[in-house]
Amino acid sequence: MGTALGAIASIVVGGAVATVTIIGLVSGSVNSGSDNPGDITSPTINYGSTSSAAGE
Amino acid sequence: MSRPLPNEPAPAADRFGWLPLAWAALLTLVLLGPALGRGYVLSYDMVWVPDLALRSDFLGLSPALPRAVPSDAVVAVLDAGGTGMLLQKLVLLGTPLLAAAGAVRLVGASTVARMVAVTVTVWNPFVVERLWIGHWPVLLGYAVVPWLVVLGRRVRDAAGVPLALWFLLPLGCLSASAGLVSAAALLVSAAGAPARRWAGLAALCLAANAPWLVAGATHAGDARTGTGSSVFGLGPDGAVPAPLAALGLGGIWNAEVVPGSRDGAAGWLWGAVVVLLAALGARAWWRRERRADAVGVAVLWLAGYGLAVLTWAAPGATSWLGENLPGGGLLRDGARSLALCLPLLVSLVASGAEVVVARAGGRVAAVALAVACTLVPVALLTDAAWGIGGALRPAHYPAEYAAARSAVVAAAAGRDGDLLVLPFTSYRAPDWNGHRKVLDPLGRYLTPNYLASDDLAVSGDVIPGEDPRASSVRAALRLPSATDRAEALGRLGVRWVAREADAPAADNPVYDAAVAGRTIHDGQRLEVVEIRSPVAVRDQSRTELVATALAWTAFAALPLVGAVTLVTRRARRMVTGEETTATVRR
Repeated sequence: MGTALGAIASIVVGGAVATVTIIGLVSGSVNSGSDNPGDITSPTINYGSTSSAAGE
Repeated sequence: MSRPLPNEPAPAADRFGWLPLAWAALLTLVLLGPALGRGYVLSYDMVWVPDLALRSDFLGLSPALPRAVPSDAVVAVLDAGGTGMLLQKLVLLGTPLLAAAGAVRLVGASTVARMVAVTVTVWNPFVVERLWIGHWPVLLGYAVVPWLVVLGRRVRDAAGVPLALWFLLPLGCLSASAGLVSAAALLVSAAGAPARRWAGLAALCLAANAPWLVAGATHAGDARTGTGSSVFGLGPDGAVPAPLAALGLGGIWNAEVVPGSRDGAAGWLWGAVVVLLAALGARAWWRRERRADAVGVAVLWLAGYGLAVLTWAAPGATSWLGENLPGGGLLRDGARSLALCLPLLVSLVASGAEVVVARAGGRVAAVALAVACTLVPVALLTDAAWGIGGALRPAHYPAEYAAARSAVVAAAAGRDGDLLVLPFTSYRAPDWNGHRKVLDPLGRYLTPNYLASDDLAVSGDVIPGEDPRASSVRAALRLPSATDRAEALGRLGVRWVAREADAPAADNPVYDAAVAGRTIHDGQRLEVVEIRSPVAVRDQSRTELVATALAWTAFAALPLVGAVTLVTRRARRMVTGEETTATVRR
């Protein structure tokens, strides 16, 4: 009984992770929005920002 | 067919032995996506041009810190004939594959261990963030770390230098920080070897790092980082605090290149899953591994993690190093040392996956858990896919760049002098690159030694650069007339001035000003002027030239020795093979 439940749980976990991965990858390819366009109104373009500044 | 290296587990005996490398290829393709299309991926520090011209500054003769030594010179040699685009694709594609192929040699022989090793090596915050910020030499250094660990163990156990080492060591030393990581990986893994053998390896490391070491030693006295460089230390990765993020190879200083998923629960879960699997696998791994091997990767992990966390815990120390120690600024980006954590992390996580799968009841359950362990790092970082959600889309240089280059090539024939790039700011966000940020590529696109601003704006604060000529350029730009500016710049060794009309600071008097001279290119985006005033061409001392030549000879000797050894071995094998065939026929 315990083995059967363990097997079912394993299959559910494996299936869930696989599904989440595929959905995530597909939605990531459709909604690609990771650009960080530079602020071209400022004379110097930021190389980056630290987390503390980004959170401000 | 390559022979397995000693200390390396036997190839997976089952019929799925091909699967890990096929998985690595698939993951790499999904990770890069559009980045592999036609054009140049220009993202932050990743600057590739069609044909990078070799120039003396790339060899380390510039007064600035050798941040792109020897990577620029190596690219300039390899992309001859306008193959820069192809070379960039090869680097982008080859780096994760190389890392994955090395990682599978560190873990158990089971397919599940190798699949998980591939995922954790290719799909993690370190790879994604360094790719986005464009630190490709750092990524190459990361990719050779597992190989150097395996090769170091081999040298420790048997005499002779493995053939692969002649090629992989210089590949891992294309920047200062990558070179230090590579040297540490090799030398720590070879600890316990006879002293003479270990010293030989240390000499090879010195040769592989010689170009930037010599450049740093000859110029670093003038090239000190200004205040504020502590911002480049290890930082939080989205919502995950820095020391915890570093456990999962995250923690780059620049929040802009951290994928959005790291801000939410997925960021925490990524680290939690990796640490949990590592904890589960630690005991089995410790029992299975040879003591010296286990201690070696543990020492590397401690060094990598410790250095990274130090830049977070004691940011003042990083700043002090940059300001007071010549060349200290090269080491300010603390999270780069996390590449040293890869061998232990990947070994433990793969071992943990084996433990989990072994507990499954039945074959189907085991397969399901193996799939879960293999995919979960991807599932928790899906926004890395497709060139980090499109952030790595390739771009094409405007046709005008080629016209300006031709004009400069014609004007520069037989004449020395530097090219000044204006506006005197370091970063651009050109419309033809989708306004994505990139270190100004114009200097690399044109052919002379160039002088560009190396000040960096971070969160609005400017971190002063290291080139001692920069302040003189700024002073020259403030002079009242175009003729005065030309004369002052000529005294600095500047013969050509390239001005980018579409840069944000164009015509801003702080960063840009007209310079008198002969216009050799006048286009919509670019203007190149040749200064007619006397130009004081930079002089290199004989000592500096000799030292640089020796350093490059040492560096180039490594792959050359490797190539000669390879050819000799092949020839010997062919002769032996022919003799054997002849004997059989007789």
